[in-house]
This record gives sequence, structure tokens and C-alpha cells, in this order.
Amino acid sequence: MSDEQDPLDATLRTYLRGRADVALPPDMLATVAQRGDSNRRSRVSLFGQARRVAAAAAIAVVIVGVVAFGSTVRPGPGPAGSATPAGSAAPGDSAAPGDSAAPADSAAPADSAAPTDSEGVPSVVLGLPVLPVARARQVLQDGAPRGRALAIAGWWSMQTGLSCAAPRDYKAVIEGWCTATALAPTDAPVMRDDPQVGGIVWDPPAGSLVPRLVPETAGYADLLQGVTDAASSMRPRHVVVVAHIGDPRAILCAPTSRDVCERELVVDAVAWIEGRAIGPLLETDARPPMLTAEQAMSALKRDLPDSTLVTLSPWTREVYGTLDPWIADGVSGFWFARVIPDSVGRDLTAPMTAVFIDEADGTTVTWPLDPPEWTLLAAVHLGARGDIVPEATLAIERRGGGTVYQAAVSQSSMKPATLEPGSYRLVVWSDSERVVLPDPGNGDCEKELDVSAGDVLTLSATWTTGQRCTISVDG
Amino acid sequence: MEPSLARGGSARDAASRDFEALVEPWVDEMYRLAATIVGPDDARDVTQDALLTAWSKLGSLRQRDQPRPWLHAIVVNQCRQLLRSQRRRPRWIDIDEPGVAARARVTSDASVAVAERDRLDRAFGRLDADHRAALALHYVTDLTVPQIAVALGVREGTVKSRIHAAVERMRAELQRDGADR
Repeated sequence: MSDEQDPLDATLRTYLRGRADVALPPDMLATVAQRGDSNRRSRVSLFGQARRVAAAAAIAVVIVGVVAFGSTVRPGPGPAGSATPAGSAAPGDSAAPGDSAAPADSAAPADSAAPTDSEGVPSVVLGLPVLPVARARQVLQDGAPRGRALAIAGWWSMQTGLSCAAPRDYKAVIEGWCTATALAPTDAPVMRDDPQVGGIVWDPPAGSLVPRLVPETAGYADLLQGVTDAASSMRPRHVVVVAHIGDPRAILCAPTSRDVCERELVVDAVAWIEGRAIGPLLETDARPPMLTAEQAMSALKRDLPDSTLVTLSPWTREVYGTLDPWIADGVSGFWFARVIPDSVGRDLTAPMTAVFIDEADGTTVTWPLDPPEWTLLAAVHLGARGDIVPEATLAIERRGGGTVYQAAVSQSSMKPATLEPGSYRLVVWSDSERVVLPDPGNGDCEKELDVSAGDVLTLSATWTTGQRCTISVDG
Repeated sequence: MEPSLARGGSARDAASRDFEALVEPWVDEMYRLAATIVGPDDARDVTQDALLTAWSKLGSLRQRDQPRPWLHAIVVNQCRQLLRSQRRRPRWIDIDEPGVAARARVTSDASVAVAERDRLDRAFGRLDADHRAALALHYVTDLTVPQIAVALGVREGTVKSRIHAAVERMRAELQRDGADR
């Protein structure tokens, strides 16, 4: 299987067996039994103790403090009369208690499990008025401009399904899958502690927002992803988040869902969580950045003076595809930042700028980058073959010869590629060795394609049963 | 009270007993496989989720007398899902971990062992779920190639190339890590 003379072989064997040298918790099957029963009864938040503890520890590591950028991280004054105090629901808030979707049988006293009320919720963050959920919904329904930041206070919850089948269709990074997020109105949620579940049961009430969390570009996403204390399970968190709609990554969605993606509310940062103001700097476990955070902020100060920093995080090329498929290969790393220019007036929203800071030379580049005029966006859908999750390789070849793109793809993955206008052949084959699957006569697994300037195309390669696949191109 | 996945009916009780009898011999291995791929902090949840999935999909198990590759496949899929949802996470090195202790004995210098373990953790953490699973199944379990193929959801011919690619990726990551420092 591998070369026994290779020193790495022995190293890996020792290392991996060390990772595997763990003792099975004695109550594993009993706990599963309890979860299995409970899961049949209701939709609940279920997170195990292990993950809770890990998440609590994660937060201890991640939080590094508030970092001021520019002249200051200043809470700019909200427009007169425009900012409803976040701690109380606005008049007409659709989330009246009667809207609560809490099950009728959840009669346990809410005060035994409910988080504290909204005392201390800031009325302004990053110069933005903090809007209650109902007001934010109204702003969004009234057509908030693309890419403008809103600060919204509410109860955040994030529930991940116990087990989710792979999606039948390709899901872009800002589309939800297997995880239900909610930002609920600031009325204290009615919750109950279900001893059989071993945690808190809570259903977001009607009128909740459904934000999308893309951890790669959301400051302190760990605070929203995980559980912050071991004692309270996945109870909702009282938070203020900064978010926007009209995310440019909507272009990564399949054509049929692009309009929906444009309207997704995408979280940029956690500004406040249960009494704690959260700073904009996000440290990660990515390889040590070549630029320090101070150097990255110096670059921002140089190119975007007098701005308020929303989030700043170092990233490596592994996540390029989720940020922007058109970032040039060869860039070793960059810092990703969102800022709100101080020079512009803030209303209920404020324009937000996203930039990359190239670690090679400290230059800043505004995101999204302009896509080239010629584009093929290959969203590859591989339908499952029974219980087998297929994998395949996608190649794009010039019709005259020469491969211009080749990458492994797994189920429902997205592989963006940019192509000059011309004639190409798209080929998809399964497994690692190229054996183009037999063609029963309908062009299986190979397709010829002419790309014209301005094309944005989506490729679907779909396996059905057996070893047949078909390729279709939409655009 | 005996643990039961389904209460309230004798038929379901019997089914749950059958299920427990089926999976119990392999739970420890499932847990260790999960710990190898996603780390000890998430292994419990991954294993629990895998067991629940196995319970709910028991009908799809064709060879009841050979549940092991099927259970491993479920664990690998749960690991994939978790890693997909947690593309990054801070790391902790626990000097009491067995692997660290073992290497400490070899080097007689715990700080070197921790640094080496940290370097390996970092490199392993950069692998995608499929590469992690391939290495874990190869180096930790004694599954045969056909069984690994089932667990990974690939053809037998792909297993070898997958493991080779994963080893080379580890090598590259370790070299890159060394070059970065």
C-alpha cells in the first residue's frame, strides 16, 4: 500500500495510531438511545457535551480582544429617530408573543432556561443603529441596497441536523444546507429544558430572519457556530450581528437559485453577544500569516483611511474558492477585511467595502474582483449511486488539444474556471484513472462547448445509476 | 434499564436489541476512527451521529453479518459533514495525549514531541476529509482494500491511489510547514 522504506510511513503510523488511542465513553450507546428516542419526537437542538466543551474552549482561544482601526472603532451616532433601541421590539414588530411557535406542550417555566433579557444591548455598533429583527425585516423588504451593512439584534440559533443526506443539488457557499439558522425577534424566547433530550428545546418564532453564516468570511463565526457554555446546550444567544444582502457570491449559485441567493442575508460579524462587545480581529489556525495583523491594518489605513473595521482575518488559498473563484492562483495568502468608510453617511444601513490585502506586498484589492468577460462556472452535481458517494474528475480541454483545467470534484461541489472564448470539450470521469465511461449514445460524460465572451455557464455532471453520467450546460 | 433505541413496543424493542447486538462490537472502532479523522473533541458526537444514522438506515445494510465496512462508511460520511461545516477550528495540543507521550519516550524531550505532534496535527488538519479518512483507515484499522473501498465509497482501484495521494499531501504540507518556519 505504501513504501515501507519511507520514513514518513512509520511517522504516520505512529501519529495516527496515537490519534486513535482514545477510550470509548462508557455511555455511548445509552446516549445514542436517548437521542434516538428524542429525535423522533420533535425538532430539537442536539449537541453533545463533547462538542459543547470543545466550542467553549474554542472561544477562549479565538477571542483576542477589540482592535481599533483607523482613528477609532467608533460607535457613530445613529440618525435621529431612525434607530429603534434594540433592547425592545419596535412597534408593529411581527414577533409578538402570540407569534411564538413554541409547542403548546412546552409548558415548563421559561425562566428556568431562558437567557437574560436584552439589558445592555447596544443601540449603535460600528456607527450603525442596531435594529430589532422586525425593523430589519422591514428594511430588507423595502429593498435594502446590495452590500450595505445592517446591525441587527436578536436571538441567534443554529441547529444542525443529526444526519443529513448529501444534497441532491449543488449548494453554493451562501446557500443553506443541513443547518437551520435563525435570528429571532428580541422578545425573550420561550424555551424548555427537556431532560430526555438533555438540552434546550426552542423553535424560532414566526418573524425570524434566516441569516446565512459563511464562517470563512464572518468575524468570530465560532461564536455563532458553537455553544458557548457547557451548561446550557444550544440555547439561543442574544446577539448583535452585522450582515448584508446582495452578496457577490450569489454568482456561485446555480442559475435557478441565483435570485434567491441575491436575497440571502449574509452575516459579516458578531458585534455583541450577551453583554460582550466583540472586536473585529479574527485569529485562525491557518498557517502563520506573513503579514501581522498590525501590518495588515497599516495597509488598510494607508489605502482606506478613516474607515471603521468590521472584520479582519488571515486566509490561505484553501478557501479562495469560497471567497472568489477569480482570485489568481499563486497568491500565497491574504487578509480579508470588511470596512465601513467613515466618510459616508449612515442611515439604517451603510455601504461596506470588502478588500483583500495581498500578503506578498501588502497591496489592497477591492472585492469582488471584476470577473473576466469569459467565464465558465462549473457546478458539478454528482448524483449518489445507491449509498456510494461518487467522486470524479472534471477536465476542460481545448478542442484542438491541451487541458486547460482539471480538478477532482466530489458530490455537489463547485469548481469555477475561467475560459477564453473558444471551443472546448468537457470531460468528466469517475475515480482517479481516466476511463471515460461508456457512451450509450447521448454524449455521456463528454460534451463539446463553445464559450463566448460574457458567458456564465453552469455545468452539471450527473450520475444516475450504474456508471452512466450525463453533462448538461445551463447559462 | 437497558438502553433501547425504540421504546414502547415489543417489536421495536427487539429491533433495537438486534441493532445493539449488531453495532456493539464495532462501536469502539468507530469511535477511534472518528477520533483519528476529526480529533477527540468531536469524536463522540460524530460517533453518536453515525450510530443514529446506522439505526435509521439499517434497512439498507445488505450483509447483516458484515456490518463493519458499512459502519465505517457512515463514520467517514459523518466526519465529512463535520469537516465541511468546520473548515477551521483552533487546535489544542494535549501533552497527555497518548501519541505525544509515545513520541516523548522516543525523543526523551517532551517539547520536541509536542512540536512534532503539533506539526503533524497542522499538516493533517489541512487534509480534506477524504484524505484523512484514507490515511486513518489504512494506518489505524486492519480493513482490507475492498473494505476500505466500501468505507470510502470508491472503487478498490482508487483506494491505493487515494492513500498515496494523501501521504504525498502530508509530505507536502510538512515540507511547507518547515519552509514557513
